[in-house]
Amino acid sequence: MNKKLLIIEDDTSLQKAMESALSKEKRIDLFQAFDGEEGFEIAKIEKPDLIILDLMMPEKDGYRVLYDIKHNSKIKDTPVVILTVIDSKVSDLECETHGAEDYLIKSEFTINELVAKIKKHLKL
Amino acid sequence: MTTNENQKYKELINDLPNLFFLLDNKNNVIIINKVAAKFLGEKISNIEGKPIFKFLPRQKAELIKRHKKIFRTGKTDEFEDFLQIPDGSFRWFWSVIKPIKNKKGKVEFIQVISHDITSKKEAENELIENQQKFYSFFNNVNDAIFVHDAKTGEILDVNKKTVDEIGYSKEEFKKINIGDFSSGVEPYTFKNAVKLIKKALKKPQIFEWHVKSKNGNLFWMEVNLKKISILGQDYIVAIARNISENKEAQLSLEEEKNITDSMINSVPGVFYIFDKEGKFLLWNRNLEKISGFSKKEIENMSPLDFFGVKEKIRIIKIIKEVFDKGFGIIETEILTKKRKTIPFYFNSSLIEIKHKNYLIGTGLDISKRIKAENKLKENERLLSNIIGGSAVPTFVINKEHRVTHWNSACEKVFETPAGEMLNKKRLWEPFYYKKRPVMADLVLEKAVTKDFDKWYTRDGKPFHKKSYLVEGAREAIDFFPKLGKDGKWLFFTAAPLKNKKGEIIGAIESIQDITERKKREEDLRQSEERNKAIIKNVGEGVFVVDKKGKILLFNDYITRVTGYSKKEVLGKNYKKIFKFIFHNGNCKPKCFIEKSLEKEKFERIEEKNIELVKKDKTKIFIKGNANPLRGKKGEIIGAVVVIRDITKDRELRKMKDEFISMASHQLGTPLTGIKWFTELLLEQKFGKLNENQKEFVEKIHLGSEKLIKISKDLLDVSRIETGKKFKLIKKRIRVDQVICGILNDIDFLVTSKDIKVKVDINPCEDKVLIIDPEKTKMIFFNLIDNAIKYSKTGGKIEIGCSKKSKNNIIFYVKDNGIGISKSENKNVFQSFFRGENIATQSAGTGLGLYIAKAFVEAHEGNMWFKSKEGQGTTFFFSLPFKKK
Repeated sequence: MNKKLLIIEDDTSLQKAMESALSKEKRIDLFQAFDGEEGFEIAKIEKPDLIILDLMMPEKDGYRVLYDIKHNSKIKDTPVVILTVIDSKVSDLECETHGAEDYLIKSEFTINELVAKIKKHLKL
Repeated sequence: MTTNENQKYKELINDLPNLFFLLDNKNNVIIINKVAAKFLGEKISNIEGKPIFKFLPRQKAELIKRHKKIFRTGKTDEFEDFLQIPDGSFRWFWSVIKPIKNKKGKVEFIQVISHDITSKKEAENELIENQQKFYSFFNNVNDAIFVHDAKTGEILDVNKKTVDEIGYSKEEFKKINIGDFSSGVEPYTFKNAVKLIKKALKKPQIFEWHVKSKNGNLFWMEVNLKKISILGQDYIVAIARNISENKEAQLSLEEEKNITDSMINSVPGVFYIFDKEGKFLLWNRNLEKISGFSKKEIENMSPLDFFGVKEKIRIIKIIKEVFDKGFGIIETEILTKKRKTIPFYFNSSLIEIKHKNYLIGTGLDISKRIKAENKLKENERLLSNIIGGSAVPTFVINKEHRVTHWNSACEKVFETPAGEMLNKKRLWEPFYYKKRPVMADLVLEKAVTKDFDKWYTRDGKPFHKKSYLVEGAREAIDFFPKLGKDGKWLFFTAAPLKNKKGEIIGAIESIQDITERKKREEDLRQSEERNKAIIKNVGEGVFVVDKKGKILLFNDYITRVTGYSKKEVLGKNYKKIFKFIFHNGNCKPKCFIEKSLEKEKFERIEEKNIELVKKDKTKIFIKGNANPLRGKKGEIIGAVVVIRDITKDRELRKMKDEFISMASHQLGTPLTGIKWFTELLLEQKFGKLNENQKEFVEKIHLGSEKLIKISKDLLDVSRIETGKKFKLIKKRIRVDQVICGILNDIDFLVTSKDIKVKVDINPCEDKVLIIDPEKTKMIFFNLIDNAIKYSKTGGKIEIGCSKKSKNNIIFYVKDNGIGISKSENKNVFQSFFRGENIATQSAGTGLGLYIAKAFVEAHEGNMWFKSKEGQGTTFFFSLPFKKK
């Protein structure tokens, strides 16, 4: 059975890169959202196995989406991994507080590492 | 008559001492006696029978007449007459012519018997003359004359003057007695008058009598009573002179004398008048009392007798002086009768009394004065010693403003010897350029504030003041350009000198040279000014508190920042004014000022969020520190507190943060995009790349990674700068693990320049570090990156560790590159520092070291370096480790 992955990220380049990288992964079904609202909706519908959530998004900020997810009875148990550019305010503590599974600093990982991490969280 | 009878008759008539003539009626001499004949100067025989007129021619007519009368009347005639006798002289006769009658009764003859009463007559005449003379005198004399009966005192006669003076007539006088014209007041009574008259019988009396005139006027007469005898009878003659005027004069003179007497006797000392011969004319009782000599003795003494032998010469001299020059003064000793010496002061001058020169003078017992003088001399000596010995310049002036004391300290400080000052009025000279009073002069004259203001005011402000310590004294501080090289500052106090009675007899002034002190004060003041200016102008709020927290100094910035004015704050305790709000959790941290004072060391406001409540109750975030102030002995006397309003800073920082965050994030995402895409490309899963393409893409990848790092660095730096504490995610990790990780990361760096890397972590490879691995990696990365940057191609880098300290492991990164120049040493850890000597060689941000150091310090480690220009640099840093 394929795992569903939802990436909520507003940057199209990154989405494209990640999409490309994940395209080789047969076992992952990728869903992409470019803003928080859209992401939340998709999450509710698709009930992914993992959500990759970018924090820095215009309009609906990542934390807000996380909050919504975690307070939605249907999808509150969905593991969320936060994506951020630079570890400005993110820490393990913060993750725990907000209910995220883990956090990733985009800039510090190669695309492959990112994929590996995703696969790990998806238990693939 | 018979012849016998005739003969007897003739004998008888010849025995008669008188002249006898018997004349007939024809005036022929019938009988004449011898005496008569002698008188006529003829023989009897020649005369008898001739007319008498022949012998008394002058009396012829008269005789005829007289004889005729007798012949006619037959009465006896008695008469006195004077006759000229033949020798020419005149004689008085008293003649009795008796008629001789015949039996018939007819006068036949006349019998003349004449007595020569010439002497008697002469005497009588003389008496009469005298009497006349006497009366004339009696009545014309200017004195009143009384003739008293010697026994009864009855007034027998008075003269005209008496009548005039007293008023009664002669007749009245004979009736009244003395008492009636006496005042009646004792002793001027009748009784006493009689007594005096009786006394006059023995001895002449002179006295004064108070007379009452007829009309009741009283006046004085001086009376001379004398006994005279007239014709065997004693009389008392009183010659009286009206001495009323005299008496008045005398009384007033007496009064004057009394006054004078009392005057000269009330003279406190002795009073004397004596003449050139040394005979005393007048002196007062005191002379007698003091000298011990009696009045009588003095009458017979010479002035020299009052002095002892050794003084006599001086006395002689001074007496001579008085008579020569007119006055003289001498202080000497008199010798009393009991041979006691008393010091005396004599003041004498020359006077003229009734055309004669006298010396008049007074003398005073000065023994007390001499004693007082000696005491004064003693005190003077004492005072001189005290003043003289004092190290403080002191001078004294007497009542005449003359300098009496000028001690050696004065001589030194004012460069004026005592000789030039003593007894002169030149006090102003050492001090001022123009003549003017000094403070002692003013104090002597009991000057009031106004007077002092006149001389001790500068720029309209008086600078003298009453002495706090000494009553009646004044003090002031002034600059005297005339003294010393460049002038002196003097602090001077002048006080009055008083005698026992409290009268001012002089003034004393003492002076302190405070030039040095003033200089120091001035220096201090200047430095204080400087400090104040500095504090004032410093762009931070600075205030100084004392040990207890009382605010002593305060600069303008604080006012700007806190809203409190200097007045509101100065002198008050800071705790009462400045309210700090700590946003830092539960425990109340002690204010940094308190901490600093307590701990006696520099305290910085560590807390990030301290707010200060302004006067208007708004709050501002502040940053600052407190540094203890130490006194000379090193003891804490207060603290200097610096406060900065960081609200703006915070805002700016927030803005910066946000900006950087924003920038970083904005940068980050596209950079990540670039990175990922290049990675995907390099994977060649989406198409093969030729050599060139591969190279290009690699370069793009590298670039993007660099950029990512830079933006990360920026973020770190901004965080470091804002002082945000790093969130160290500490993990336990072994040294070798760390190093291994690092070596992986630096691979690409090293190869680009062909750098050889040597690692030596043997001493500590198994040690477990408690560190944030990511940050630690960064430390190493940055250091190594730096080392590579500053190494030449083919250089060598050494990485190692040593276990030098107890709790830390010291790592080092060593290169043999270009090194850091000495001048740049201190800038090495500054952000954006780039060594000058590599300026062009590589692209660096200059943030690496800065960040590395911050990370090390976040771990409570230290970073330092050693470098030699041209040879290489070794960076050291310490990290904590856990002891097993």
